[in-house]
Amino acid sequence: MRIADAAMQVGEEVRAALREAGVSLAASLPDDWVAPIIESVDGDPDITHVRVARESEIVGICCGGFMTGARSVAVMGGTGLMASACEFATISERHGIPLFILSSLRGDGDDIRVYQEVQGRRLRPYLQTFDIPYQIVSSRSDIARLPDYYEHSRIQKRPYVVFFTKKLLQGIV
Amino acid sequence: MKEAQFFETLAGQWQDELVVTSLGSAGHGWFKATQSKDSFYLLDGMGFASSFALGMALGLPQGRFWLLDTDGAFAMNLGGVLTQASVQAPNLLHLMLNNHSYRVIGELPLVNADTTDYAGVARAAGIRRVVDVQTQDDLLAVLEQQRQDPAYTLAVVDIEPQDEWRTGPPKGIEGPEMKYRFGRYVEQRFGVQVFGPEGV
Repeated sequence: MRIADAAMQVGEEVRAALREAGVSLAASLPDDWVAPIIESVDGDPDITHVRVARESEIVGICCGGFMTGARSVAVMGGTGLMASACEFATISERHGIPLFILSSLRGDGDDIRVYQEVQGRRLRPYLQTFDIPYQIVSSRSDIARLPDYYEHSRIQKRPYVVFFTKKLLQGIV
Repeated sequence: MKEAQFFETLAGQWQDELVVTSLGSAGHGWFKATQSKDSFYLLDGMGFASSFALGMALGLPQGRFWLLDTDGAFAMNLGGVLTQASVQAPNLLHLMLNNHSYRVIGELPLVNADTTDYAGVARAAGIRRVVDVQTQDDLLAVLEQQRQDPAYTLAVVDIEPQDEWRTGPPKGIEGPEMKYRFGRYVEQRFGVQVFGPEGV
């Protein structure tokens, strides 16, 4: 796998912010945009990282980690958020378990993949339907806010999504 | 193995393991046998108790975990076998009750139930310790092996359902109370912090 140096630098900044937030457990399934975050996390010896076969598993792993005191992070593409609806509702929301998620803001104005257009129109309304808070991180300086967002997610006691824009994840901004 | 013998044997052998159960007959039977209110009964999220237990096992490596799962749940998260195979958490014993149906909703048919070799699927996925459990002795051997030589283990337990074990879910604990009850138990036993100063 080859990830551009500029994108990996962003991944490293995100990883450092996650460590500042006390994250020690991660579970992920990539899309091409969030791959730099995943590879940075995977290389951190202080974070136990699990690659999964389906995004719903991430919900279970991170919520289970919470129940034993681990501070966890979920990383997945925007489509994975849609694939995890049932588990968001029945594992996280039903029990009031916080779930901190990093995701890609797919289908936004700068995403011209035809297979992402539905995500662009429906992702945010979908999260609103489930009453799932979200933030959008679009600049390098925003990355420093991740520890604050992590603490904010704890008191929400439900899934909490931090979207990253394409230009940021590719290291263009 | 009859349902009663399975749950009663397991309850009799239970020491200090943290127990997680999937939706349906696994949790119902465990509660009937033990009345435990310190176990986590994942009464929803069908299929993903296995992922939930994996997260617990990774989050608390000093803990020993029993996951009571069923064939219906296993089938619903079959991809999770690949994840378990990639991690092989040594402190997780995965007991999968193979009752060949959706037992708790009236033994309704489960796809390909009489043909699928779940143990074979797990072995092919790369899980190193997979055990077929037919008898009480088989079950006792699995429990002893896990204590003496911990390794992620999938034990496929062939279960003969019994009407008197067709009980309901645990009464009086669910949702947020399950979270707080289990989390406080973990905090007390292991000295870890699950909940912060804000109570979450």
